[in-house]
This record gives sequence, structure tokens and C-alpha cells, in this order.
Amino acid sequence: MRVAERAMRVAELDIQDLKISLPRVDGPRPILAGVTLSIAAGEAVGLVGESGSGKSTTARAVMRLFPPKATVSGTVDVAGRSVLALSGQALREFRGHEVGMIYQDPRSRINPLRRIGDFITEGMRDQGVPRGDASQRAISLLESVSLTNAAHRMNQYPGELSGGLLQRVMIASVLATEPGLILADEPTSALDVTTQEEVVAILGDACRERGMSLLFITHDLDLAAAITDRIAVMSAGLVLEVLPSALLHSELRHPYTAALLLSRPSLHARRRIEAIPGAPIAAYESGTGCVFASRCPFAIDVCSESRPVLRKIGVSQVACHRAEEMGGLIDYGALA
Amino acid sequence: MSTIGRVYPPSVFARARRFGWATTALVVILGLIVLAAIFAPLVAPDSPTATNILDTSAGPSISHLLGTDSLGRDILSRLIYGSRLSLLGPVIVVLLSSVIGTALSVSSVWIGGWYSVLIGRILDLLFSVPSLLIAILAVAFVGPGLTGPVIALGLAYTPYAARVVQSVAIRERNLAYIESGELIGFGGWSICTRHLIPNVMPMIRAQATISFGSALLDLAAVSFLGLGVQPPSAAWGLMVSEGEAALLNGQPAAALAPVITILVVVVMVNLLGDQVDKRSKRAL
Repeated sequence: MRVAERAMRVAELDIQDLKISLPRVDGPRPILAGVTLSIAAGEAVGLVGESGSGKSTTARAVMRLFPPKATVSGTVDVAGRSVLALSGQALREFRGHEVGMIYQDPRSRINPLRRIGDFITEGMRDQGVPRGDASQRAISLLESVSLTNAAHRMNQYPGELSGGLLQRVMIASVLATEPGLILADEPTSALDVTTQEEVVAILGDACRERGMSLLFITHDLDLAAAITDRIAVMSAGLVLEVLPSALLHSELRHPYTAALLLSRPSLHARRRIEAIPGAPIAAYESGTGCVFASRCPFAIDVCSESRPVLRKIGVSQVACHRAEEMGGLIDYGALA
Repeated sequence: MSTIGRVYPPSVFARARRFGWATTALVVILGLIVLAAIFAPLVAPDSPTATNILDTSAGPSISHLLGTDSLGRDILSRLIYGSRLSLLGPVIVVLLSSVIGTALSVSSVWIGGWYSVLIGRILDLLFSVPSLLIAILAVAFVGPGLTGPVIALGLAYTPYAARVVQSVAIRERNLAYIESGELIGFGGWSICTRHLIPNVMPMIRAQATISFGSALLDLAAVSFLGLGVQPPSAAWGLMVSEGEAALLNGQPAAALAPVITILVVVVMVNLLGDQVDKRSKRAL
């Protein structure tokens, strides 16, 4: 049924060739170099990449939140509406109803002087829900994110809750506005490893049950693969590969994705962790060629001359000149 | 509702221990002074304006605890009645400057750009004019009495309140939870009134308490110059000027009593202000 529903609705999020650059004395400096990404209604997509690759910038652009003085081109559509054209009251309503954002550090994102109940009900109260109803809904939302003793938590202050509990409160507050799309910007990075799993499961379940789309940003490829339908890999302000999460290990075609998988410890095999040689380059340093060319073991002359575009190959989309041959070049056995 | 347990409000003694006994004593004494001002007719032994030609400039006695002034009025009663105008004036000055200062600084932090530059320049302009001078100028326009000086001092104190609030508001505005509020779709007014201002409130309170002492002194000075509260009403500043002649004749009570009262109240309020300030810096 969910599949049928999905097919009927337009893409929940559609980003086309999004470019953001900042003015510098030596000319504009790109931070996003043409991101293309779409999420179907009810779909969960993981956005993975090293630090500075533009993951958060992309998520913030969906909220129409840009760095000061940035120049922006391309399109960002949420549920068929152009986000970049919004302003004033329409923008506030869009942020309040259409999208919800979950952050890395919930503690800094919640007013420390207000109670948990105030935090969750504030959005509803703002929309005219009576105090009693809002509290009732808040309690049931807190219970739905597996927070025990929800009624008591309502009267506690953020300082009295642990990071994991607070992140659940954050999730509940986002669910309260029933957005079609949730942007989760490294929601578990500040959490204890043991609570990470719970929070991710709660977030994934909440989205699935309500048919909400999810953009899940993380450094952790395996974590992303576990709760999302598709994975998008970013580097230097570009999406290099998009593929179904279930086929991550068997169907990946971009050497960068392979290198990312090799550079993390494996649970199944004892092997050396292979660091990617060189340092990650920023979008403005990438020149005209492929952003991974200087560090890619399979690079050929054309790689540093022209930039490959994202094209469809089998089940995935890959931005690599040698994508077709990669199936034979990558050692899939070592990726497990 | 819950089984975990409930929080009991701390007892008076628990609070006193937390604030420190010195601060508690300050609050209690100042509170008593305020109560005496409110219930002056019940507390004062005599009328503040009843003269007695036969008993002028008398020293302290059982019937007049602090003696009488040059018109035979009971000094203690005049002090108690005088506290009403002497305390009410600075309260209004502080309220006025805090409200205007907070509004100006928070709006300039929120809106930014040319608006914030404009507000900054206006505050600089206000800073450059001595507060007492503005108060005296106001008398020239409005006429003698407290109204003119109180409004004028309220404006003159605004830049001080605004600068202090602005410095903490800038920091608060850049905190992540404020941005989250914007991303939940709240308007600037909601965020400022519900989150930003409540969270910088300790600083506003501290600044207000500290300004109170200066405002009391400035208003007393205006009354001393004969431009503020008009006789036969009682106010501390006015009483000092009325007692001046007696002071030169070797009867210091009429001038010294209000001087010491002003001194004690201002010092106590400033000490309390320091405490409030310390607590606010811990809170922020």
C-alpha cells in the first residue's frame, strides 16, 4: 500500500543543480557545486560524505537557510513548491508545517530555561491548539518515541534529561507539526553509541508509520544503509553516487563510495583499514575535473579534464567517467 | 500525576541560605522601607506637614524621635512620607529606561543592518548628554515637579540599559535554539518575547537594580535644587535643602537625617544590585 501511495504523489523533495557560492575577494567561492537529489514521498534517503562535503549546507538549503551573502542558483522543491521563492509569512508557514529539522546537538537547540512540555507544545499553541489538547498530544507523542513517564517529563527542564532522551524529545517536537519531510542532520553523532541505535530506530519507525520522507545525514555508511531506502554519497559539494541501500555493497560503482567503505573497520573480516590517500578537497579547489580524480586509484586522463555528470546505470546513478567498467575494477569481496 | 516524586518549593530559610544572609538582610530592610512608604499614614507618628512655631529645630526627644525642622515639623514623619516620592520616582525612571532600552536593543539585535546602526547612533547621542542636565532641561519645559525630571531621566538612563541588554542579547541571538525557533516557523516577535527577552531577563534586572541608586540620587539632586518636588510635600532631596539653613546654625538633624537616609538606601540598593548582577552572570 505504501508503494502505491508513493507512486501517486510527486517527489517530496526535489533538488536540481543546486549551487551555492560565497563572495570572496578573489571571486565567488562555491560551496555546493550543483547538487541534484530527490526523495519520493515516504522514502528515506541517507546523505553520506566526509566533513565539509556540503551535506549540512544542502539540508539547510531545503529550509531556505543560506550562509550570509551567498549566491544561490538551481531549484529546491518540497512537495511541488519552490522553496527558494518563499519569504516572510509563507516561508514561516513552510518551515512550520512542511519540513522538520532534527539536529546533531539537541541540548543547544532547546531553550534551556523552558520545560520540555513548553518546547513541544509551543508550535501547536502557535497554531491555535488549546493548551489542554496540546499537552495531551505532546504526551502521546513523547510516548510514541518510547519516552517513559511522559507526563512527568513534560514538567522537566532540558538539563534534567540525557542527550538520548533529549533527542527523542526533539523527534517528538518535529512529529508534532506533522511535516511531510524530516531533515535529520547527524541526529546521533552527539549520542552515546548504545543510545544511537535506539534513537535511529525510533526516528526510522516514526517516519515509516506516518509516511514521512526522511533525509538522514551521517558519516556512517552502514548506519545510513540500515534505516534508509537509498543512499546518496557527497563530496566537495557534489552528489557522486545514488543507489539503493540494500545494494550498497554489491552494486556501488563510484570509486569514492568504495574507498569510504574500505576506510571503516569491518565487523566480518579482519583487514587493514584503508585510508583514502590525500586530504578531502573543498568544492572551490576541485578545478574542472572529477572532484575525486586526484585521490582516485582508477583515475585516467579524462578524469582531471572534464567533470562527470550523474547518469543512470542499472539501479543507481553514478557520476564517474568509468562507471560502466567499475563493476569489474572494484574488489567487492573486500567491502563486506 | 507522576510516581517519581514532586518538587516542593524551597522554604524561606532554604532561600535565605541560598542567597546568603547578607543579601537576605538587605532585601528584608529594603522591604521594610518600602512597606513604611506604602503604609506611611499608619507608620508615621505625626503629620509630615503640621508645623509648630513653638517647637522649631528641636533635637531628638520622646515626642519627636529625630527632632523637628525649622518649621517645627516632625523629621521622622517627613522622612517616612518623603520616602513615597523619593522611591516612586526612581522606580518609574528604571521601569521606563529598562522597557525602552530592552525594546531598542532587542529589536536592533534582531533586525540588524541599517536599523541597528541607527539605534546605535541614537544611543551614542543620548550617552553624550549628562543625565542631570536633561532632567533640569525637562523642568524648563514641563515646569517644576517630578513628572518632567522622571521622564527625562527615564530617557537619559535608556542607553545604559540598552547597551547592557544588547551585549547579552547578541550572544543569545546567536545560540542554536533561537535559530531552531526560526526554523520551526516562529516569527521574530514570538521568538523575542517568548525566548530571547526572558532569557536575558536576569541581566535586565541587575542593570535596573544598579540604576535605581543613581536615579534616586539624581532625583534627590533635582529636588535639592528646588526643581523637583515642591514644598510643603516631603521628599528627601527637598528636606536636605530645607535643612541647610539650620545646619549652618548648628542644628544638623534636619539636613543630616535625609542625607543619611539617602546614603543608606543608595548603598543598600547598590549592594543588592551587585548581588543580582553576580547571580545574573552565573545564570547566563
